[in-house]
Amino acid sequence: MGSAGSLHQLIDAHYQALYRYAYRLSGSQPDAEDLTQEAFGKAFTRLPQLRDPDRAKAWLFRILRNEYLHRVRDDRRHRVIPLDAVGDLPERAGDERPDVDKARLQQAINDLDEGFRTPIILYYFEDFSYRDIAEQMDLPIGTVMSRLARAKAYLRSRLAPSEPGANGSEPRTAGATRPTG
Amino acid sequence: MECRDAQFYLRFRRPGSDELGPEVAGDLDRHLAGCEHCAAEAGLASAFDTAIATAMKDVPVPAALKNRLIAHVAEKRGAALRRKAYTFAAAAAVIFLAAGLTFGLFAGRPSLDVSADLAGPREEQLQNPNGAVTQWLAAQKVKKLPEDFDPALFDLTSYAQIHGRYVPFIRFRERNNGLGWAEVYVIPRNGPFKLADLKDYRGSNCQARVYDDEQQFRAVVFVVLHTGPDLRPFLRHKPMNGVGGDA
Repeated sequence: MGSAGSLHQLIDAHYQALYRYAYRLSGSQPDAEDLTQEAFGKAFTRLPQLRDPDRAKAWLFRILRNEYLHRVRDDRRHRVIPLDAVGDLPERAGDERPDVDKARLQQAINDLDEGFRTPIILYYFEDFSYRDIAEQMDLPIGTVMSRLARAKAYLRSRLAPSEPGANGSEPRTAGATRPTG
Repeated sequence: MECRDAQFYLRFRRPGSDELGPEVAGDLDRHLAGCEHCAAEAGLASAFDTAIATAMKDVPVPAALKNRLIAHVAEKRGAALRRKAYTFAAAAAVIFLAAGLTFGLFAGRPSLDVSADLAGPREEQLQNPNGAVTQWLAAQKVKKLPEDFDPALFDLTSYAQIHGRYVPFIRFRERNNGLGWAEVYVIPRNGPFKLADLKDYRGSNCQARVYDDEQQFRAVVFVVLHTGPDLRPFLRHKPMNGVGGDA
């Protein structure tokens, strides 16, 4: 690896998945485009560091996430819902298959703290194993799995059709309190 | 496995993966086979995961994004190549300046036998560009050019007078009648030379490449000034995959 031609191959192979990841992280098309562009720009300068071409996708995703974190580091306006108050066990969904509205999904993801948002996004991009997610976030696998369980429970409470909270209101949790500020 | 444990592991199970490990996955499967309640939960969880996964990846990608990314990378690559060329040029300039006035090139206008260097009137050169290039190389006492320039693109040979010093060069035009050009200057090794002077002479709308390989080029250093981001428009056309011939 180490040539512009190699990077073009990476763009061909991964730009769509990278953009979708960027969109889910940022919730904005312009931001997602900028993030994707910056990620490939950084990948160009760091291409010699990629020793295993089979790990290219995970490597690119990591670059993009770091770029995203760098951008939002000082963004204190983004309100997030702490999942510490969400019960570990998932709420029982209704018998119907959930009809997931994409806008509601994105809103639910936007409301998550990034520490929970990234693993839940990567989880549903099927190629990423728990180990891959743990490497992306520099976290133990156990922590990743715990966060995923909570994030999934949160999404089910927000999006499952028979659940209270499915109309966009707060997830039903015993004793949960919304963060202030 | 009891229902409580099964409920716990179901939260982490992913269809088609063995991340729970074969032992746990086997116990879970056996429990689900015998417990209708947990099996129903597993079905609902799987349906939910499938729906979320589908929605999560259902993001339309802007049509122009790929071209934008390629253009961005190309721009970064051009900037990197220019930095590299200037770095080489700066190093070569330092070498030449440190060598001093060995050939007295700053001591006044040198007496050059110009007539021996030029291959003849330009019309004759253009009628036989291969010969013109060969003759010019012989006059400079070099065996070959630093890159595989296409003789069919030969334009002219001449001298550039730079701060009282005559520097020989050969020019190639851009393929397909483009407006670009590439000029190959021959500078004696160990002679004083400042690349900045050469660029000032030619203007700022060009790239500079310095070829300083004593093993290959012995007594000279080549400096190539050219328009455009690279030299491909001036080089021999190489067939792709061995099919076809020169353009």
